[in-house]
Amino acid sequence: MPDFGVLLFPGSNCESDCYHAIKEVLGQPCDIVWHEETSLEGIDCIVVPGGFSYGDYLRAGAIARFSPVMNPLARLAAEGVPIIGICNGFQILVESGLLPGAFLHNSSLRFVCRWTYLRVEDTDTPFTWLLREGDVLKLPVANAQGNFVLKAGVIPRTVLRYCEPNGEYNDAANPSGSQDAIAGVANAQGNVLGMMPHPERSAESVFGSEDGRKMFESAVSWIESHKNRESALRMQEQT
Amino acid sequence: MSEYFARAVNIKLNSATKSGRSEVKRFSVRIEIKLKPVVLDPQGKAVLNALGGLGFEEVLDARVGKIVELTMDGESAEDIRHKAGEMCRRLLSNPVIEDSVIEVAEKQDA
Repeated sequence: MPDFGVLLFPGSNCESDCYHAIKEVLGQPCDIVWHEETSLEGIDCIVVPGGFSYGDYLRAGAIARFSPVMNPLARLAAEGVPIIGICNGFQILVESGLLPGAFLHNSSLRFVCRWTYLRVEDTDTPFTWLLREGDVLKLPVANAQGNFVLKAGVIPRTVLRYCEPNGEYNDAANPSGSQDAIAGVANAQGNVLGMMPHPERSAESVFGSEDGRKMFESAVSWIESHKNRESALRMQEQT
Repeated sequence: MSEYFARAVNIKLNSATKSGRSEVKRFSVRIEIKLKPVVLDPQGKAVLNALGGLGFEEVLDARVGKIVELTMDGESAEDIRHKAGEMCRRLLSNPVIEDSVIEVAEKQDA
């Protein structure tokens, strides 16, 4: 079974929800990892949870990126280990340069807390490979700075876009005014995903949607398949 | 964090005793950070709307930025400017959406 690690920064507040979704709902081993850790050895999948790391001072995620744990995280990102940043976790990954873009205040000028629908645009990531392109997920957002922007000319690997329940795009479906209705992007390699909506808050029917669980299940399946492939390759090399 | 600052202070004390030859001056540094002109400013828009609501209809545009003021010790204004620029790149501003303007002035009373 894959080992999950949920990072914890001063001011994170979604780590328990992520832990619950992974440990209790999925039944996978999971640890909470304090941000001063300098090693992430043995962890198969890292979750950078939401919240208000360092009080969102300066810019959301701007200070957390200097935490010691960000060094091994960058190494794992380069090695292809699945990493998912949710909400403030997405902001931290963007500030640290592991993902492209930046965040502005929501175009509505308000903190937005509501259900959103997301169209799956890219299934070649650990968190979406058990989904189909065009699938629509129902997940909640809760943020003030979710207005994703990109430097002119940068074309990201868009994984999730805000849409209507039927998959159509329009401005009303985009809760924060994000550029191109982007709700989630991956790095070029595809193993690092950042998303504003919260899959951990929609992993059980009691929440009103179980779609978030599909993303964690996808990661479990991806990691197990890749581990099997690795061991098969190693056996082949030995014979 | 406190450990970090303690280390920083030690480094500063050491370098001050070693570089006894050159004179260390005190500077005030003012860093203005604002959103790039092409980036929409939701905060500025809120201020614009609020000013309009107060009857200041002559206001056509409003943009909100940040000012960071630092007091720094160094040998020259160029050196201080260079360091402040590095601070902007690494922490104070996000070059994807923000521009920064650095002003350095030597403090006369130091």
